[in-house]
Amino acid sequence: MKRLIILAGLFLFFIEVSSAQQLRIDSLLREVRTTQNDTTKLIMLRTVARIYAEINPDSSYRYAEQSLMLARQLNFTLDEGGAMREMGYALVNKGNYPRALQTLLAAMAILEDRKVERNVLVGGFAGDDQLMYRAASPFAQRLSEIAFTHQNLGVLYANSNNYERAWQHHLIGRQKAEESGNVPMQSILYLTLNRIYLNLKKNDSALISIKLAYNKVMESGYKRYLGSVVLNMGRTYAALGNTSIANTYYRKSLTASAADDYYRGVIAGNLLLADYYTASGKNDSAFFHIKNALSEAQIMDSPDLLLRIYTSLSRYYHNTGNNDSTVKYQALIINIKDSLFNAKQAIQFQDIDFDMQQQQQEMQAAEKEYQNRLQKYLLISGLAVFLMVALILLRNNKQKQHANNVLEKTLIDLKSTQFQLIQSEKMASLGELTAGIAHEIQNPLNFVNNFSEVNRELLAEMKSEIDKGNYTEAKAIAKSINDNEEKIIHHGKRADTIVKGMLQHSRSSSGVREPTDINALVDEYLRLAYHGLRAKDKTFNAGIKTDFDDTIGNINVIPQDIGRVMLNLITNAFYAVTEKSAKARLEANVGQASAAKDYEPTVTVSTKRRGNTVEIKVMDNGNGIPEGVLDKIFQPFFTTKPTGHGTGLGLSMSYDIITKGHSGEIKIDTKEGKYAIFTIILPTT
Amino acid sequence: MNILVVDDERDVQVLFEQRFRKEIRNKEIEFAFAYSGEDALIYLSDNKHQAVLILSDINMPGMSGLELLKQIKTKYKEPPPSVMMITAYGDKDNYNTAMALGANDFLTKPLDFSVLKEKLKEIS
Repeated sequence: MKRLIILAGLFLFFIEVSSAQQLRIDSLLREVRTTQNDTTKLIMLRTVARIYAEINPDSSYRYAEQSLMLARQLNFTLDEGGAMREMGYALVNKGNYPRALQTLLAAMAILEDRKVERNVLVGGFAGDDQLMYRAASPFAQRLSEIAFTHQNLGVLYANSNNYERAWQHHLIGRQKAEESGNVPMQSILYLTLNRIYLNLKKNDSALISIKLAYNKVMESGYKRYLGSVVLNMGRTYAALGNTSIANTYYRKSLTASAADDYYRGVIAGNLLLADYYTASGKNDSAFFHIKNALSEAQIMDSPDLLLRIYTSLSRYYHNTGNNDSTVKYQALIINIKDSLFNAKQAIQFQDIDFDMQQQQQEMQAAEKEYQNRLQKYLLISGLAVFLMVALILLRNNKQKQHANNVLEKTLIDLKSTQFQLIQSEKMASLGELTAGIAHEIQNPLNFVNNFSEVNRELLAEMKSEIDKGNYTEAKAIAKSINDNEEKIIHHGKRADTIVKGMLQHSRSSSGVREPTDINALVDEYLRLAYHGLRAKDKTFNAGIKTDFDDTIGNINVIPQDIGRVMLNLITNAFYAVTEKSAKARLEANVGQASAAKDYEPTVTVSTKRRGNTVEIKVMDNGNGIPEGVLDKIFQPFFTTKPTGHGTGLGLSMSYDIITKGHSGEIKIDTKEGKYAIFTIILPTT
Repeated sequence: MNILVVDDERDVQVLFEQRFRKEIRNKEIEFAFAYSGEDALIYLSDNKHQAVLILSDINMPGMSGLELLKQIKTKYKEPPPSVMMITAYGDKDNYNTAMALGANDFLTKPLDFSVLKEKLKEIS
């Protein structure tokens, strides 16, 4: 009796809650009617449909349909899919499985298109439907809806006893729910997965699932299905053989389900308790719970629940010996079964199922085809890109090759120009030399001629002395002839050396170092330069001073190269002093006689050994070198001489010969208007 | 007759000795040799009035023949010795300068000894 009172209290509590829920629905619907904001209206309608989902499938369907229309109008495709799913779920609960399947598949088709993410209600709409976070990203929202649709499909297949299919949908649903981060959705999926495991008699898996479902409920605080979770916890323990724990959970589930208006939970809990009491022979208690369930189910108008209630009632009446009532409920059961899932419907369902499978296969084929096409296009475009890159590279390569050819030709041209310039510089210096050489040859030739003439005379004298028999005198004359002959040979050789030197100078450098008497070399070129200038310019005269260090001896140099350097430096020195004396003479003409009188143009050439080096100095007291051009004088083509008087290569070549050819140094010391000293330092080792 | 020959070419001495061997042997001419202008001046200061004739090259390192001529003509006035210039460069400038400085004659190389001998005969 005491228990009865408690139960009655509970029942009253349900009704109270129920009317509270109804009040909320009423207020929402009022707002739907009054609001001008269509977006708000859509949210309200979807919330109402969701609340009705487990209370009244018909109402849920109606409001879901309304929200579908509105979502279409507003072009919120994600909500369109969601509303359609809600309609599908209502159809599942109404027992129209073929239409439920069609609707859920249609919803899935909408949701699988990523385009739905483009226009989504985001944020600011904290509705009562905590299953959907409007603040979540469009992608997460879409994944949640997909997970929910899979869950609904799973429930549908489970209701039609296809547990394999149900299980598959749940696995996909669970994956999507996890990806979306929607924990309430995960709890629902674990809950229904538990029911499938129970039906498949996989009790251990069922226990794991339901515990996970419970954890997810607690984690998220979404308690809409807490009653169901607790109820199934009980069922799972019952299946595992622990009926007393099961009974405790059943009782707890009643409170929990009622707390969140989960009428299906309340009904299921009552029926399970009825089963429990029936099994333990307590038919009164069983009947009490069956009646509770019946009254709830009548509100819901859900055939599958009624079917279960009528089955329990039929069993109760059978147990209590009331055959009339048993027959009556048996007839009702048959009726519901006919309406719920008759043979015709089963065929329809399977047709849809088959169509769906085929559709899926077609879709997969289409997907595969698309992938293949995509791969083909990717391959083609990849090849095109590759070809373009190859073409560009080829073109670059060709351009480079062309540039290389041009560069090579330019290099060859430059080298030949350089060679020609060096040749012309040599020829220019040869021109300077020619007169000097002519003069230098003239002297020895004079000696040769003179001594030859003298010898002819002496021979005649000797002959007459021999005729006279004056042999002593003849002998003395013979000695003179011999001495003169020596002179002839000496000067002949001297001329020969000069000619050879000239030839050497005009020829390319042998590049071979040979032991060379530096003093003799310097002296020779000093004379050549002097006489060269003298021959060209009759007025030219300059003092020459030499100071040779006799201890130098032979050092290894390329003689014609060093000769060229000496010639160049000395010629420059003479040029400098000539310029200055010309200027002095000019000043003398305008009355400054002292300038001309005081200036003695002098070129001094000296050599000196200093440890492992030999120093050659060419000093002139000419105009010196202006500071501004000092750093340019070794550059090729730099010249201060008037056009046509210098190639501008003399000093640059000299610099190269000394620094590169002989690892030496060339230094300048100068004071403008006073002097210039060029010092060459050559290593002797 | 005393003659001073000034030339930087040392073989000039041998040549003159050979060319004038008869004159030297017969003591008609006595030769002295200097190898530079500076040497010549030293010789002249040591042997005053010994040289009646001076034969000098013009192009020499250091003091040139013209400079030597100038100095001789300014230093030795009573009586000034005869100075003959001998040069490879028989150009007008050289000739004029030499004459302006008081050269008594101007001969060009290669020297024609027969001409020189004729000139010497005229002087002596």
